[in-house]
Amino acid sequence: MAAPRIVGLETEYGLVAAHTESVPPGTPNPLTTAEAIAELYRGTPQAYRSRNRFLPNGGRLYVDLGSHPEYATAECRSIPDVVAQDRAGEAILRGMAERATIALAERGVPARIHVLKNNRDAAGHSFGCHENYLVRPETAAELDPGFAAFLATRPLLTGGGALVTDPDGTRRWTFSARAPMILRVLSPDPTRERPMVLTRAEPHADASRHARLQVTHGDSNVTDTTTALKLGLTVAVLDLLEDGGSLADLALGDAVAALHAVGREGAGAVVDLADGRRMTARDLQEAVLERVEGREHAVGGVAEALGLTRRALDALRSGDTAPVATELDHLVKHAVLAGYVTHAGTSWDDPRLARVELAFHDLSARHGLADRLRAAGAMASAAEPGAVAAAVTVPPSDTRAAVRGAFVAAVEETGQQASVSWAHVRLDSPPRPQLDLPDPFAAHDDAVAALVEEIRTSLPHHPGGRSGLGWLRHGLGDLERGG
Amino acid sequence: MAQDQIREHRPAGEPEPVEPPPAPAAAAAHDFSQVLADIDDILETNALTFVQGFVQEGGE
Repeated sequence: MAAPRIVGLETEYGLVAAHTESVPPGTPNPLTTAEAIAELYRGTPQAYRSRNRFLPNGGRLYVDLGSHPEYATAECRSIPDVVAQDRAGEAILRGMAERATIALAERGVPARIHVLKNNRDAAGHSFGCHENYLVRPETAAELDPGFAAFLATRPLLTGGGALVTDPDGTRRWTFSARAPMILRVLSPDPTRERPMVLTRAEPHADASRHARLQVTHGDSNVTDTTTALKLGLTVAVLDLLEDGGSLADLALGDAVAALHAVGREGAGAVVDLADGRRMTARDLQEAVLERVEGREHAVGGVAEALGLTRRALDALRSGDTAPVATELDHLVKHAVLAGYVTHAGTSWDDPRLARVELAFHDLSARHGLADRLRAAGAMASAAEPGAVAAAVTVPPSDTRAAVRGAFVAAVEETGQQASVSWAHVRLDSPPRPQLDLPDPFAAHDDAVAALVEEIRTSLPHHPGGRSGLGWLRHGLGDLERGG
Repeated sequence: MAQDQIREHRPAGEPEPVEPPPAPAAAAAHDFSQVLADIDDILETNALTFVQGFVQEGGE
């Protein structure tokens, strides 16, 4: 049995303010991105206007470089918890966008705020979805050379699919918007070098025992079964490596070139191994899967992720992808675009398809497609009914997130000032000593519990309007639909 | 067929796609048709302006 592991997901979202009334083609947006993000936060309680905010559910909501809204899930010990936390982030941002749009309308501004879960804008800028896996320090320091081969070929399963328009106007369907943007296997610089694995050492935990492996080349997934596959399969590979297994014989000659090929061509892309062999990306994933199947995993939900991987690889080999058509993100999206081409009696060169593609990623219930696709049975979900709504306010019960979430909730409900990071909490009004939380597996801390009790029972309350927690619970809409 | 149309635009030398276009389950076909019809409404206003206007400042 492999050791327990913390898993989390950070997602940068695209943001755009669109005209609500018909305008001549090419009219500039009614708000800049910077103005749009100000509006996105304007509708939140005072406590939430801070651009770096830890949430009662254990997650973190902030504004990243380039005015992106970014949401990081709490520390999780099971894949279903990460999926619920990630979908909770979608729900929180959806609610913020809806309230911002209402507030704009009330001020007579004909603009609508859209938040998009994708990885590329019209100008070719890339923004990321970073996976975090707690590993042993030596695992990250001496990464198995075959791990990059696994990551480079993984988008055939986990890619979000992307329409590409070449400079000559040619349209192509590809498997990953993110893959062509990745320039290195390893680097400490996520912005300029955009690596597959970020080597920046920020463990957010006791660095003598834990390292945080950041996988940064993946697509953001709208289809949450693909999110589950992506995280669960990668955990299984890390479990293998930390249990004495190896992928070194699968190392590629040029993993970045292979990633680009898989992004373009998917399962059938041929990759060159360092030892001179050539194989399809699908066969390389098959070789990885055979090594991780049948093992015991401490992280919940890995067996289900491997089950989907098995069905997906079998379907891709047979050429009949129907058995997994609702579970793999790129297949779901392709079905939407192909369906629309037929429905509208148009061709793949129709420039409106780029707008359909953005609708696939739009968090809005009204202007996005995910809720509709789930309701229509065209997009599967790995989230248990009710789990997403619960995860908006409730942290995972079995990690440090439970300690931090209880503190954040108490502070917000009573209006106290505090300082919070992944690895500490500190009450500032009245001042109390900082309480460090170096163990991400510790779901209880006596000192924090005592402080939370003091905040709730002994300190004067300064409630200012609706609390952050009340705001999160308020108006989240029909989260239950489609799980 | 949609896949044929993609194939037409694939640059010479690239391999044939491995995946055929997936079809939604027949039982849900009616609902899927409704999703496609809903897309018409989404596309009704400023479709191309929306695409051109979706420009970020870069991330990560």
